[in-house]
Amino acid sequence: MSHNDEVDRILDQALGEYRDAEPLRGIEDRILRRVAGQPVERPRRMAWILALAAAAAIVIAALWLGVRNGGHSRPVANHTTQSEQQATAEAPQVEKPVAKSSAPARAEAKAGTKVPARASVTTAHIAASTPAKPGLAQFPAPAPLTGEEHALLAVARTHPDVLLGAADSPDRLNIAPIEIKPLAPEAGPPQGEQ
Amino acid sequence: MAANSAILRIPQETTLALDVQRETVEIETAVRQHARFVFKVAYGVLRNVHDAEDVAQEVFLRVHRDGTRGVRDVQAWLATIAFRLAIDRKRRPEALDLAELELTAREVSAEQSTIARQSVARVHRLIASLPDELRYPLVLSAIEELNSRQIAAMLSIPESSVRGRIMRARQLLKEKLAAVTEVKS
Repeated sequence: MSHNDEVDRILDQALGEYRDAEPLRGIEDRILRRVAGQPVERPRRMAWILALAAAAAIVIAALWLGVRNGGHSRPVANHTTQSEQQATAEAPQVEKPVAKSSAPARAEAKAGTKVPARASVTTAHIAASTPAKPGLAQFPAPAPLTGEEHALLAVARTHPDVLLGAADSPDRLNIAPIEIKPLAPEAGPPQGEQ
Repeated sequence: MAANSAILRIPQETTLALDVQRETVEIETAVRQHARFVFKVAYGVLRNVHDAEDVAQEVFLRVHRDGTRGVRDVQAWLATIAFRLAIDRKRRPEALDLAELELTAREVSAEQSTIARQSVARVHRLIASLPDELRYPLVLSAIEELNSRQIAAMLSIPESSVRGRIMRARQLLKEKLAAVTEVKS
């Protein structure tokens, strides 16, 4: 037998270990016992199905609520913008309470300039910061300005000095102070008292 | 029509019980048929009886958990799982125990047996020193139940590469063994 054949034989013998490897007796029973000891996976599959069904139901409910709220949200947004517009239009009416609350507004009120604009900004800010309330669009309904009021506004914008000067003009209506005199002591008692 | 609907309306508990029963029969059949083969594949990597059996148990637990639906070649599939689990286990501290080798009984004298054991142990050390890409094809080729196509699928390499690697591994082992023998003599 050559050396090469001898090496081949040894090699095959060594590899035969892998071919002839045998487990300890009863491996099948041990495996089956271990497998039987494991919980059946069926409930886990059912749990998966249930979890998926629940997730689908939640998604559908969320979509339905979203669609429902989406339909209502637009009118609410319109209410808000309308109320802001109304608040801006009514700015001169609420001007005094707002102006009293802040020093710069007071200074402007003394100067007599730009107060309506400032007030409109302030009231718009208040309207934006406060949550919109349903029905605000209808209450209070703004009264349109009369012809005289429009004319007065136009004069105030174009010639404010005329209005200020009118307050100091000599043609101004003077009302004499009311004087109430005390009762005369020499006057006799009313008749019929005796 | 009514009879058909009555036949189709099987309670869910019954179908589940049937499924469980069917799976139990399937797993038992698979264990009886393939347990030793799976053990051999694991042993080829680990060379430890107890570790190989642990891997075999893990393989069938996985079969029990995932089922065998859609698997064409069950044997190759089991071999792949066993091989990968064994590789994972081998990355842990080495569990080589040559004393536990269960060589087939042969009518040889005590002296011859000792010499043979020493030679075989030497070859095993040489095989263990081979790089993985040569060692695994060689070891798996020794398992008769596995053909080169299945080994190629397990190792994710072409079938021709399997044959080439086995030849190279054998050649390398011969050279090393010859060198060792010459040194000893």
